[in-house]
Amino acid sequence: MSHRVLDVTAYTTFDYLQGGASGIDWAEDGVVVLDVESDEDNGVVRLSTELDPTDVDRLDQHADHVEFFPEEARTLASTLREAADRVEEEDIDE
Amino acid sequence: MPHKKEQIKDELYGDEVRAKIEEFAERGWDSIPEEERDEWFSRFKFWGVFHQRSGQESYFMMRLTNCGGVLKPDQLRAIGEVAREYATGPAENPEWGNGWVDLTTRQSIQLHWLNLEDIPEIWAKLEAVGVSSRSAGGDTMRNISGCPVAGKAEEFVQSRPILDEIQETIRGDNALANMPRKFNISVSGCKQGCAQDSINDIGLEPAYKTEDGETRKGFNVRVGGGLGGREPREARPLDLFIPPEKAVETVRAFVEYYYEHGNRQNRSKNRARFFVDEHGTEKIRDDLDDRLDFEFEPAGTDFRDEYTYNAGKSADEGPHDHVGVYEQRDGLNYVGLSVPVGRLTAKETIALANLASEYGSGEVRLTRRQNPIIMDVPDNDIAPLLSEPLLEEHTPEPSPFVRGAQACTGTEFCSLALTETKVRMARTLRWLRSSTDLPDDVSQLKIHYSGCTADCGQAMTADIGLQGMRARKDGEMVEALDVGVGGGIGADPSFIEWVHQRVPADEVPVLIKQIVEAFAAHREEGESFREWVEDFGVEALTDLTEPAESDYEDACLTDGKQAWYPFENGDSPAPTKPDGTPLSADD
Repeated sequence: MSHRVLDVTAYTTFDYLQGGASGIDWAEDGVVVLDVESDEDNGVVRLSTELDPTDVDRLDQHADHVEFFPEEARTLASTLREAADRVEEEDIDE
Repeated sequence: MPHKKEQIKDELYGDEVRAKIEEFAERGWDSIPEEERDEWFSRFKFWGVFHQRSGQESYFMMRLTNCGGVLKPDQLRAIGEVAREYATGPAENPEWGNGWVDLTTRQSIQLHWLNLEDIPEIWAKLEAVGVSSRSAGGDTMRNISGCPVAGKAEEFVQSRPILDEIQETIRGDNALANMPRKFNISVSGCKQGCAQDSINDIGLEPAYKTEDGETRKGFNVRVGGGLGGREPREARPLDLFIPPEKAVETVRAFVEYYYEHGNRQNRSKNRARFFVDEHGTEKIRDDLDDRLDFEFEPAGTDFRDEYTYNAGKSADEGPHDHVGVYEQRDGLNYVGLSVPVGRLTAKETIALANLASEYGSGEVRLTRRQNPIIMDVPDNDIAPLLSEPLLEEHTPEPSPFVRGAQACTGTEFCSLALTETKVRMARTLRWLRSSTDLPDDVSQLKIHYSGCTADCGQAMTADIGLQGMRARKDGEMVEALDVGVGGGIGADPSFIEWVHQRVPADEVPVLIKQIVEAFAAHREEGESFREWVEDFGVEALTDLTEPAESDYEDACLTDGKQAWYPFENGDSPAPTKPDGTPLSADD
């Protein structure tokens, strides 16, 4: 059986991002699905990613998950915002 | 803590929702407070009334229900007339224009572009001929599926009376209206497996026991099947044989069991297939045993190895759909039409109803493959019926591409989908028919298209399965498809494996052509597509094929789910008054 592990619908946070996987002496690029969902039962925000299975030879099809308590999720959000601002500032500097 | 949807349902659900819909309809679209829309739309679904997606505010889809796909004389005509009068939107579909019906994969019908204000009138017209939309959506028992020709064609065990009783006494029971989640029931008595019990929450399939030279007919019980993108499951056997007279109470016992003990907290894991994962078939069997007062016996001998319906077997092993002319038990015939992607214009729908009355008994039945069947046609009327213009258009002898095609609703109306489906599939079929040859002995090839991983189009169980996705092409986001092969139902359900993913939609027809040509070139004589994929291997097929553009023109390649309607670029006129005037015109 080979279906995507993550649901990919119009409600998925990102259905197309560039990404990849790497090990000690290897790296493969691929397209990534990234989804953020609230798990109210467990009080966490779950961020999940899945590389398109046909893009990566080395790994079995799978998705990865990270769980954040709400405060950690907010820290991540502000870190991402600041990083995004810096990238745009660099663009302007160039 | 119960999920917030449970609180919404606790306040009001089931039959009581109807009066609220009628009240809002009387007072107009604007009378639904904006902050309450989500919860009302959630409740409306129980009555088969679905608010269409963002950009199409004030328009609704209505899903009808007709147990086992049976439409009695006059019912289809009434549905066609309603479609002609009310199912007209502010934009025309490039293939079907305005005013049409969709035949569904659960043997029913959906009408789009309805105004809330018209719903009571629509109900009055439909209910006058016995058509209902009750319990067609939401957390409830959905349309019950069965062999569409039950009671008319050969059955090992008669299922039609059981289907009717389940409909009346279980699905119609308002005390069971508020299920933890949607719930699918199927009963089949034929040996083809056409009710697809393996993908239902509870499925009864024909079986028998032989003791002391005596054969007893009945059903084996399976539970917890489903196709949804997240962890599809084949229904699991309970190792339980029941005689026909115990069928209804057994179904009721499992429905009540799930109703009482199903998870009402976590909606991502509460379909009955997860319930079966969690409890295990042994415990479920034991608990049902406690609830039922007849003696349980182990499963009987089934006919699963003989199943031909979407089983991926070659056509000479038996009927794999209901397309074509087939003899009934009573000496009359049924004539199964092939309607590409299940969409009929209102005019065609009325014409079909008229033909059913003129040549048959007036009864029309619907299959699980989005196709209609004209019932009860005498031998002498077959030839004149087949020469009617409608049957030349939706012929019982279609090209294998058209015959095997089905597609979900897609972004045209669905808020979950990532891509448009029906127009794309119709045009792809046209392109394939004009450009691609199939071996003469291949009369069946199932191509199913779903707009996202929710897989309402059942791509996972197709010979060639297409699922909506997005890709980048020439620096732009485009509608794209994951393309897989090798799925099917039958005795041993299997799901597709991906050949190529994120193929830009305009490159998919060439890919399908290459796949089909590889099949034609490399198959053993008589081998079906599904059998061939198993022998040939998916990786070899990936190496052999390369998506490419062609003279196929895609209708909405770059829509990327942004427009209010995939085939329109301008601003949405919605919400509108029933006459189509934008409500903003009042500002």
